[in-house]
Amino acid sequence: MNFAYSDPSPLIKKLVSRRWDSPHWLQLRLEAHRLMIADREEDLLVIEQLKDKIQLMPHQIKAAIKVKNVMKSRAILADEVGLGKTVEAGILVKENVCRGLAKKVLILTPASLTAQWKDEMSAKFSEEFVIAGDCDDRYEGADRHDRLIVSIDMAKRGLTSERLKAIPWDMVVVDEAHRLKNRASLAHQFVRELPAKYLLLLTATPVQNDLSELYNLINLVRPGLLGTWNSFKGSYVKDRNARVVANPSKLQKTLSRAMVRSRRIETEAYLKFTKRYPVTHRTDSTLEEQILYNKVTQFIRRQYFKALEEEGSRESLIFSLMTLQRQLASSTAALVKALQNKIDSSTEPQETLELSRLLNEALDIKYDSKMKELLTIIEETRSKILIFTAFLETQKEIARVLSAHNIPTSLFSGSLTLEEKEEALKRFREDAQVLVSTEAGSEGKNLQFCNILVNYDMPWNPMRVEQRIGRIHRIGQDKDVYIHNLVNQDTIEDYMLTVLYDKIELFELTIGDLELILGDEVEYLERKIFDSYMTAEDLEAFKNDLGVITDQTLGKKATAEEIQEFDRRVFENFDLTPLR
Amino acid sequence: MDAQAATDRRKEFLRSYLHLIRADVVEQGEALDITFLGEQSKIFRKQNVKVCFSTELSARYGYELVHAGSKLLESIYQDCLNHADVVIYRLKGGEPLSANEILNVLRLDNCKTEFEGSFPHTKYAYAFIFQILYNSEDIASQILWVPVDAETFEPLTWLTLGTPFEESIPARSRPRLLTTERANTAYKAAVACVKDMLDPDFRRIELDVQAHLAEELGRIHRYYSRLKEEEKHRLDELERQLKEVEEKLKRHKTPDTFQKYQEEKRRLQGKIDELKSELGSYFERIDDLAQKEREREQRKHQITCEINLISICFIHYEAHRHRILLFNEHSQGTLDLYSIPVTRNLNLPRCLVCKKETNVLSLCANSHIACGNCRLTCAKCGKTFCLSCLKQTKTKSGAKYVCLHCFQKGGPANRRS
Repeated sequence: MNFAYSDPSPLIKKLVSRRWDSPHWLQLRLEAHRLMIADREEDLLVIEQLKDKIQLMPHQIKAAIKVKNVMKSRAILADEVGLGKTVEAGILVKENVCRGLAKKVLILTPASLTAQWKDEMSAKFSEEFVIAGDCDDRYEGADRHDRLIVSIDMAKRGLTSERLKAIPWDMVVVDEAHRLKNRASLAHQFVRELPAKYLLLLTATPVQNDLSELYNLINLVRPGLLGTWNSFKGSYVKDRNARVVANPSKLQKTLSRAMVRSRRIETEAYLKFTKRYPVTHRTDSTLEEQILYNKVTQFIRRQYFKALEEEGSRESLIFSLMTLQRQLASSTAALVKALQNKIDSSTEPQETLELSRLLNEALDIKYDSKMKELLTIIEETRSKILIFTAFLETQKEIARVLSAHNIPTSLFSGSLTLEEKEEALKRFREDAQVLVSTEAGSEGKNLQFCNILVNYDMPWNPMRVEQRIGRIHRIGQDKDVYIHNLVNQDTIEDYMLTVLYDKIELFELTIGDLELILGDEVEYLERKIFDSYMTAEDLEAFKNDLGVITDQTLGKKATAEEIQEFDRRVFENFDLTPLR
Repeated sequence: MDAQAATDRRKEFLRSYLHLIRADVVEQGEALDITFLGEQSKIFRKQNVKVCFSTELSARYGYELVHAGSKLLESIYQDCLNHADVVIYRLKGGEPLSANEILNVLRLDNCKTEFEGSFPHTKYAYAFIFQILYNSEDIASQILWVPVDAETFEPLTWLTLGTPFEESIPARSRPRLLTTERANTAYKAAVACVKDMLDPDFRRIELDVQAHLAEELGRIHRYYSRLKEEEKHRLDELERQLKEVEEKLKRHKTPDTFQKYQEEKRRLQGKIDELKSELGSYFERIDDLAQKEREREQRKHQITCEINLISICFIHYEAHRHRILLFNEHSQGTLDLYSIPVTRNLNLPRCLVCKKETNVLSLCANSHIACGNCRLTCAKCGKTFCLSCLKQTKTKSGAKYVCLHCFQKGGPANRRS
């Protein structure tokens, strides 16, 4: 037993210098201390302080208690999709931090989810994590931060891997941990060698192809719990392909020491899973809008081919062109701002001239067709509406038009201070009919009182679409959710929506589903689509390319469904719920 | 604590708090209508609030529900924690114990008593309040109150937190015993006392933790040993197969079979060589992993006990010193006892030999006062002595105790200390 003492000198100094209080407060002070302890003597200290920020579900609390008490915080959290594994992991992180058991915490996630984890840990658990890599200015090196998020792909390689393995992490959380299913893989080896006191693996599909994957994951959290692979095969595997469980009751009993899994069916009593209804609004652009769209796209295409010839700055140039294409589709206001910036930074007279012409044409357009459609939606709905756009200029323009139509509106964006954000959300909750938000940071805020969402512009990354929907279609939403997607006809967004998103039924998928289907490819999808849009000979060729991407994605979706089905079959009769 | 008891306790706490801050409270059945006055409304950011303790009432009438973690309760906790980290007070006075009350407590073994008088006396104590927090998965924290005499630094077991007190008017000059050095020494004495108080807890916790650690280490050992065994078994199996092939080779009948077995032998030998060359590094890797896991488990099972000082009290109180004369035909001695009027507590004397508190008194012929267990009669002169005044001697009939006087007088045959 180690002892740690607080420094008595401040109190002794205060006493000796006769700065004392009335003894009548003493009894109350001590009773306050005792009550605070008693209030916390529930199994988890942090529940009360978290309740203000998040709506905790019984299965989440029970899972956290079981993982803490029975599994000593080394476990697989394998809830079915949508039941809040992230929240369970967050509770456990917070609990161990509060108890002084965890100081250094590492979260490993797919690259596409690092920002989301950071936002959630901050908004829901007041834990400020830093993302390793260039995307976070605060990152100073792996050993400099007590709360770190690293993409699993970055973590498992080279110097980063060695550095991370040299740090005595108190707690490691691995999201989408089915990526560690293969024990020969770099990722598995890396996590195996991390000196983590506590380890949580999060996955909705601990088995995807065969039972060896489950064995490998369990072996990470508690090596030897299932014996050696040979003894495991002898005891629990019925067929040569390791797809049929022998002795399920014994396996369930052993697994219950290292794995919790809540199923939707068990949470139905208190958790309502409402439906999502996507509504597509393909607006007819005006002739001016169509001409401008085509001219700007032509400009972008020429610049794209020029950029391909650049050696050093190719990627950043293409990224800025991709942004311009998205601004073009978002609103004329966003386009105007983008063109003005381009003119300011342009060094070629010919290019400046062309940009100026485009700008003049853009300035002639006074009213976007999508805006009319938006006003119709707002008028018809007459209830709270959350509008998303990717660009600040579009947000301002929407706000200007809504204000002109006397529609009470609140604005939310990453540029607001914390207090201003709270104020914006409060205004939306209390007075405003509409909240216009950019992508930034409303994660973790309770917006479930609103069930209508408008995508004023469409993200090219399906994960972003899901993140937007996730703001209102989450635990606590008791109404069906309507998702209105606004696109101008015959634009890149139009094709993406109708060819890709609709066919893969994107609006019905969750983050977990998407991750399973697209994996890391989600990172490259928008670039792939943009490249195709730029290089396709004509519209038909682009549609064909998009069709190919769609078919590939559909194939992956089918595989993902098979995986989920196999996983479901394996655990069908297993009772690993924390609720009992 | 069950839910109802917890609610009752919170209710009581809230009432005491509101009473102390002199908030205006109107009880309306199970609900309280509270009006905060002046500065209080700044703490609670409102002037009036209706609160209740049941979810039903809260749902029906919209009263603010007071529950664990509720904002109102958290604000009150915070306000309480902002007060009374350092406190001075005086215990209430009272009538001193009478001579009879005191003498009735004592049981005399070999002497008589005479009460010589009571003298009032001001005494001081430091009381330290600690929050004990175990940094462990499943052990909750607790609050401990440890009062220590400001002169002798002995723990004062009789002084409980609930002893009636009155607010002390701060003296113009600081009490003599209130110094940084004394407070530090008293703090150290209190911490030692805390450790003694917690000792049974520590042992229980360590036993639990060690048992769990042993279980985990066992699992690690079993798993990695089994992995090694499996590899060794694989090697044994290959060597057995090799021997079989060699036997067959000896008994071959045709060039074809010779060729076949020779081929098989080469294949097996190759596998064995390969396995043997890999085995060393494989075992090393396994030992390394096992060691890392053992270290991790040990790290995980370390427990730290935080002893956090949360309040200090300086207490003064009136005590009475009672002087009692003990006497018999051989000697006499005086005994000073203290009583605390407010609690009607008499501090029992401590035995000179074993230092334990006792109410059974024996008078030693050398005027020492001991308890019934620490006195014997001299085998030679027949007087009663405390154990520190006796010597053990061996005689033909066995060991005997004699007083120092008789010991020195006795012949050489008797002397064997």
